Amino acid sequence: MNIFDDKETCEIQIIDDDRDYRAFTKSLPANIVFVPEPYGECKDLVMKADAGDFAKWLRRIKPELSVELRKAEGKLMLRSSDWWLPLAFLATNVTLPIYLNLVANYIYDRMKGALRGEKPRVHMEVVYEDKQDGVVKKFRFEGDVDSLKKAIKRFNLNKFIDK
Amino acid sequence: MFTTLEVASIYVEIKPLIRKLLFSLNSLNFHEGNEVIEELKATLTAAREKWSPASEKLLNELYVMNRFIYMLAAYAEMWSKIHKMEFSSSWRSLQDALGLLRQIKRLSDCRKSHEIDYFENQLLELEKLYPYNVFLSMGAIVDWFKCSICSKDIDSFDCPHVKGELYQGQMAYAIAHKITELNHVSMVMHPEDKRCVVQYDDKGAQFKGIRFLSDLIRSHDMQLLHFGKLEFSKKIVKNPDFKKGGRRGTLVQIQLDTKQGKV
Repeated sequence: MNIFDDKETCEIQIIDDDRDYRAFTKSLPANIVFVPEPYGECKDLVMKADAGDFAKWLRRIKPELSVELRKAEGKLMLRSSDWWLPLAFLATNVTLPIYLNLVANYIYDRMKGALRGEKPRVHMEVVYEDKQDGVVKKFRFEGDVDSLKKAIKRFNLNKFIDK
Repeated sequence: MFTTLEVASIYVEIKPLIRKLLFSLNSLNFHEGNEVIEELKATLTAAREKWSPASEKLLNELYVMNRFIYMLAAYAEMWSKIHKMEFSSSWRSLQDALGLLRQIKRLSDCRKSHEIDYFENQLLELEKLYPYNVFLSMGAIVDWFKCSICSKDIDSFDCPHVKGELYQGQMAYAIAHKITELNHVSMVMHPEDKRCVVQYDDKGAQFKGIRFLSDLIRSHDMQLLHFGKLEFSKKIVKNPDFKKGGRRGTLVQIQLDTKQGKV
């Protein structure tokens, strides 16, 4: 195994401390809110590098969605070719598959100039409420855009089986 | 390759110059190649002045044309450095050319152009001859990013511009304003900038592959425009310093020792 091998992560976990998310759903300022998050040993919460670009893209592509960008103490600048999307809180009317599809479309849009064989990776975290279980969950993904598409398909299939 | 009539007509006008440039490079006449590049740049400047003021679409296509000419300049510089065996520096020129190709593909409708395909294929194959596959990438905390066009915070909704897009023939980019913390430097396989590498000496064994190509070109055994595809194969070479050990002798010794009860 090579230490530089790209690992793929796609996991969902229940959040114990959901106060921030509950406060967001109570006030409901927007459908999607991007929030700063802890990073490494940074003392303040920071906003991921592609937050502003992604938020602007969402406003342009889906003007019916209201998107909010929370203020952060600093912005994280990373110089890898990966896409670092910010931690997102989804309102109850935006389902996880809808958001993931938007992310995939954004990445495809940004990949227009990619050269042969270049497949950027996406790093993202989303907090949402699972209405069936009534709990707040966090979806975490790390992988390329094809793997993201596969994850979306799995979600849609699960939803279909649950019905 | 270009959709506006004006830029398409300049492209037709400069095509013979591009052909001349490639022939110059192929005959290893890099000095003449540089002169052609200056001619190309002058043609573009004259066209800009001729059509000023121009529509946004025209200005944006002129920007793409400019990037194309700069890509040719980086391409010529790269081959010149490979010829001069300045391999470490030729890697930077190669990355300049690839970066400009990405911009051209993203900003124009020439994603399926034969010209772009030719350069893309050749440059990506050339990349494989270099010893770099791990790169350095830094992480930092920045206060905010200023928009190069309106000077507002580019990540806020107050700024109407999007990073990397064209506005009146100018690209919007983000300028880091006040780096508050240099967080880390990591080793990655897919960096934003492949120029961030550990530098090797041009005479080092690391450049064996590209040196072999340079030798072929300098000895006229291969023309640089003919370089298109690499095929790697394994060759088993006997190590001349290898000496067979006396296995039998050792075995006898062990047997003897066993008999004497020493093992």
